[in-house]
Amino acid sequence: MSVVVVTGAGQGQGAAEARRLAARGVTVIAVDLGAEPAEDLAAAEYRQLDVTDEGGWAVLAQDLAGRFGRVDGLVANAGITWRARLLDVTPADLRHVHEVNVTGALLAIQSVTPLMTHGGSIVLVGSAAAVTGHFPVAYTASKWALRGLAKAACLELGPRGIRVNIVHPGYIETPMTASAAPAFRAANLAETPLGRTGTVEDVAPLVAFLLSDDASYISGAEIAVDGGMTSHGGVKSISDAVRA
Amino acid sequence: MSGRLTGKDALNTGTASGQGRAAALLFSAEGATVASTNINAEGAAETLALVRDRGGRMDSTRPLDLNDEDRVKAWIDATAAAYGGCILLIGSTAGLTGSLTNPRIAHTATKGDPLAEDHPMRTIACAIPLGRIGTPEDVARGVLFLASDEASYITGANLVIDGGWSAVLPSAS
Repeated sequence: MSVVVVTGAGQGQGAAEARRLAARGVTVIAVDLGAEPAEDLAAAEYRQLDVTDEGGWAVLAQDLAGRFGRVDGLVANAGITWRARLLDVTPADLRHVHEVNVTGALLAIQSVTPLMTHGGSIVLVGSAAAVTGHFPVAYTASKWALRGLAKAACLELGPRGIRVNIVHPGYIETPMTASAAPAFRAANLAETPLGRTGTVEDVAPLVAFLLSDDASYISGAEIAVDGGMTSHGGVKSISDAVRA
Repeated sequence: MSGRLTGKDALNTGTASGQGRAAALLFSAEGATVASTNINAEGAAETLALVRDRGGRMDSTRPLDLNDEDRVKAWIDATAAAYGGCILLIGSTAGLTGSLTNPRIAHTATKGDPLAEDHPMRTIACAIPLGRIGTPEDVARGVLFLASDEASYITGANLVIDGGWSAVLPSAS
């Protein structure tokens, strides 16, 4: 594994993934919206890119082809949340969230896979909301869509030796989750069997594992990194209530 | 990387061949002390020799029926007393955090070549997106990840190691 593109890498979880990979000797191309990353990314090469910008992806792909001739990995981490509930969310909200979370991942895959001439590994970043009926409906719908994208990409790209997997973080302490109401954090914690929230350093090793040759037979998989939150199907509160 | 399981004891049920042997070799190479139990004494002895030849620490002394609750408890207690480290249980489940690896088709020594023209598994094997049958080492590396501290927020997860087979063929799961 030598060249990996990480989207949404300017801060939070994406930045942690980029640093983790760089520490393993990977050449990391870290992309995000801002002119500069919000966190320290000295070990990675930072590029300003809106993941919904097809032209921007074409320029990046051409540049990577010229300089490296190949790309080995992609982490489609860029995403936004949108907390409007079902009866309040607008079609424009839904389109906007879908554009960033789903179209952005699709464009990343379409742009980078032609450069995966020696096989490769793609990791999409889903969410606990991708496997549950979570209230932020635009976000939830977009993350369920990402699962479909992961499965279809697994089918299409497998014969080229390109693996595609999706990870589902639970409540991870990031700038995104910090913007939620305190009750949101407390309620997530109450549903988490390990009894703690996650950190970006909990997610980054899973992403690095899936990109590595240690995962060379893992494709189309969905792996939760959520302290057990989605594994119990919502019955933790019942278990807690009846515990002697 | 190496030393990913330094200071840990791995209770590994069934190390006489296939995935269990691969896991014993990999875990010991990563610094774990492997305590195993087997029904197949001959295979278990071979695995023990392979691990020790490579400088690994392993104990494979006890034939054990895993349905015998008292003897299983005695085995675990004895292992804890002997080594005293953090204990990982490696059977079909892995690790203190209790995630499950889910190997679907792994090519073990007893099954022949599932890609052979006359093998009944050929149809399934040809439907695997990655185009090959898995190996015991493919599974062992997934188990190693779940057992390591790198997976410290992963529990209750189902790690499917099947080359993409179940993702594209729902009836497979």
